[in-house]
Amino acid sequence: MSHVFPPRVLRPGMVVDPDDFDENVRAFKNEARGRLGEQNFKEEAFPSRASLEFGAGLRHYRRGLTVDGSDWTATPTGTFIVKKTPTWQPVDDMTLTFTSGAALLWIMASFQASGKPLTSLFSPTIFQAALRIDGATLVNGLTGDPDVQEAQEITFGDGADVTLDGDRYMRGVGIAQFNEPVVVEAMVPVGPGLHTIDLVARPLWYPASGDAGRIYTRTLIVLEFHQ
Amino acid sequence: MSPTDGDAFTAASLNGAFADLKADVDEAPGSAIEPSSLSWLHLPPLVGEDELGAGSAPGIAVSGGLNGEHDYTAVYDTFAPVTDGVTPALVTFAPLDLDANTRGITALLVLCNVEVVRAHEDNAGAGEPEKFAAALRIAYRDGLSNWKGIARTERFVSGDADPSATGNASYDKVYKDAAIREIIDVDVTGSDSVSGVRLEAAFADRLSGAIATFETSLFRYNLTVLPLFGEKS
Repeated sequence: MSHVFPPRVLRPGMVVDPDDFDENVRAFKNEARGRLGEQNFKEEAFPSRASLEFGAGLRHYRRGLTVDGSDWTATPTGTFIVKKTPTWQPVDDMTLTFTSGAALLWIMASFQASGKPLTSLFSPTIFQAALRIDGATLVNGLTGDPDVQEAQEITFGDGADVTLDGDRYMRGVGIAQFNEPVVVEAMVPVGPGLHTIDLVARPLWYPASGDAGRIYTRTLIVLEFHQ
Repeated sequence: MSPTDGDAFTAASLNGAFADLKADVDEAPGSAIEPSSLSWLHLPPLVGEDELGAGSAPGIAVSGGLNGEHDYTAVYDTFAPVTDGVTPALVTFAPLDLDANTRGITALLVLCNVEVVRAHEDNAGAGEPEKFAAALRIAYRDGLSNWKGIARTERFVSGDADPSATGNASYDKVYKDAAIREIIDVDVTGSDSVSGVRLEAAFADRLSGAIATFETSLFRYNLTVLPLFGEKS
């Protein structure tokens, strides 16, 4: 609906009744109050940002934590340690919950990742990180190969300091090296309502001693483009 | 006031009717607009692609380094600005108070990728590949000359090396793309007037002894700064 047809047609020579006139005006008022569509706005209808209400069109959100990662041999306060359990684990301080309208979300997570320092070339820790929205992992917003479950089930949990699975390594399933900055991003259309965005991580490989990976300084950014 | 039944039309009553109508249109709430009604054809840029840029060269503020590898010998926690010898990883613009400006800019979105080639230390022995790293960070310029590093953008990049190898040449190669995304907003800048953003680099080490000959080497990079006009939540 975008074109308003006045309910009372006024023609030349007619005596105009004020009620008819009011009824015509009301049709336009009702349109402006709730049914404005694409054809109601001409091209460049809003030529400058000053003509938009603050917050119209775009909102942006940020969460994160700054951790001093300059001594990567230490475990400073705020370090997130990836546990040796084969599940996606929400990363502390990397959850955003907000109510949106129909929107396109540009989601970015940027963080300092680190596995345990190497004990031998072929025994790094490996973990995988992913963006999640409303509990669903985004396959286009994770590190490495999303189809890693099978390989994980075969070898996960032995805890041994063993030779790295070559297939896994070649498919780039996770973050193997210590000291590696990582970014995962995704663009997702959402409907109106409450949404929760978070960064999650899971271990894929780890030596018998030590943890399965670490995340130091991290940032979660969401740009909400209204539709 | 609109005319009602029995009233004569007057200039005042007609003006009142149209004034009411205009007020309704002017104050149309977001809920009055059907989803997907507004496209890029209707709206001004929400991410300010035409708002930043140095001097007379407006455009998305991008700096790219394609002119060769460069070495950095600043020792963490001091940093040196990144350049490829021709193009610095630097974006400058007119001073901007992110806490209050008439342009409605509430934040700067920084997108940065850089190729780290080496983090090298001559004194490093076998078994010490984990002892040094390239350090990177984003900095902003307060006023026109005072650069301030942003702690939450600090990143460290080390090589993937064989600790059983001898000689530093075996494990100083990094060859990784380091990516940083961050929002610079009033939480970072406070009341500072921001007029530039740049990438900085340093060499960081955890060796027990003194470092001798060392360097961080970077190759290609890009730095993009986009002003955001939306509401910060």
